[in-house]
Amino acid sequence: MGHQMAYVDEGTGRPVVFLHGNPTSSYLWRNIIPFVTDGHRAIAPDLIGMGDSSKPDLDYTYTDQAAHLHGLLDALDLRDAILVLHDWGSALGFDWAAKNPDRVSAIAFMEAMVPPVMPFPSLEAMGPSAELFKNLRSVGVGEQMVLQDNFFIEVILRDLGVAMRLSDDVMDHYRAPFPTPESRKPVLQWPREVPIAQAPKPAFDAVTGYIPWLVSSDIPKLLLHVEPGGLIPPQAVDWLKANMTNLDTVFLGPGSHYIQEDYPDQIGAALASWLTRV
Amino acid sequence: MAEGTIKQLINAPVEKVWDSWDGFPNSLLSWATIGPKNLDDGHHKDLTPRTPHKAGGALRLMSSSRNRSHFCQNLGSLRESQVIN
Repeated sequence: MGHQMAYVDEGTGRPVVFLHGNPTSSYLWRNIIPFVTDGHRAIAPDLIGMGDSSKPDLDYTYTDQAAHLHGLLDALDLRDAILVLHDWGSALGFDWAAKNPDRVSAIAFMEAMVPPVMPFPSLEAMGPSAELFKNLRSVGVGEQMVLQDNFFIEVILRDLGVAMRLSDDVMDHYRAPFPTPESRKPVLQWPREVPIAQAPKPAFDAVTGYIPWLVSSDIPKLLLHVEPGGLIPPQAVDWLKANMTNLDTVFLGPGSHYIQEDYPDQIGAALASWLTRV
Repeated sequence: MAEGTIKQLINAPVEKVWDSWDGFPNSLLSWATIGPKNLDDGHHKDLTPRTPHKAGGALRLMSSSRNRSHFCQNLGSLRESQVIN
């Protein structure tokens, strides 16, 4: 592949790997990483096409993303790793963990791609969300929304995914990797990779491949959640508490999807405390 | 793996969660409805924030955490990179 993967690498000790999703980067974790670097090695990659990583001419499918991220994690030769996961970074992280169970000893996750919400059984079953995903996945409409109008950065992240108002400085950090429509290709592809009605198949196979291991594995897990949330609503939290083995949960308060921006201190403190026990 | 297999494997009433799940915040869904209509009209979409869920000011701002901005300013010096082959 020959592409550069950028990652933050700070501190020494047991590795804690922070994985971001769409349309963010390792910058998402900037206020949380300092809570764990006293005694741990924090590693926060930028996914291919995102953050400071290379932006090659790829389709940016799940398969492309997984090949690059998993290649990096393999190259780092991580052992006894703890994963901290969000959004698509969760699917990539769970997938890698399920395939490398001897390398992962604990997983924290928030606003993640977990059952029973994922995988989506059908577009119709998504209720009010169906229209949004139908638009994002429609050729022409999705390109206008995401490539031309920068929908994920300027609407989902800035206006709808956080409770607080992000400053211009913070927004500029998030905007920086995507200055042109062409550069936003990975941002558009991510919603097209969301497994709905068993398609696209590689992403569906990945998600359904890790779910049995994730639910039944006895490694320590930590769920940080908000209400109403986007991917993990309260009903899903109840389901996870009842069905996921060895799960601790921390409720942060009202929130949407990019909860690292609203609750960095609470997430950092909860992680630091949990790390002393796993 | 088929959906039925997953349900059987995790042994849970998945449909009940779906019945009560409202999806992403309603304000986001409102925009999603507005967007294509504007596209059809050939107009540039209005990206003015539509944030009714924030209007009440019920959410607490975490202002103290903003002081960690020095960390992100230093990220460049902490960055590594690897070529993936």
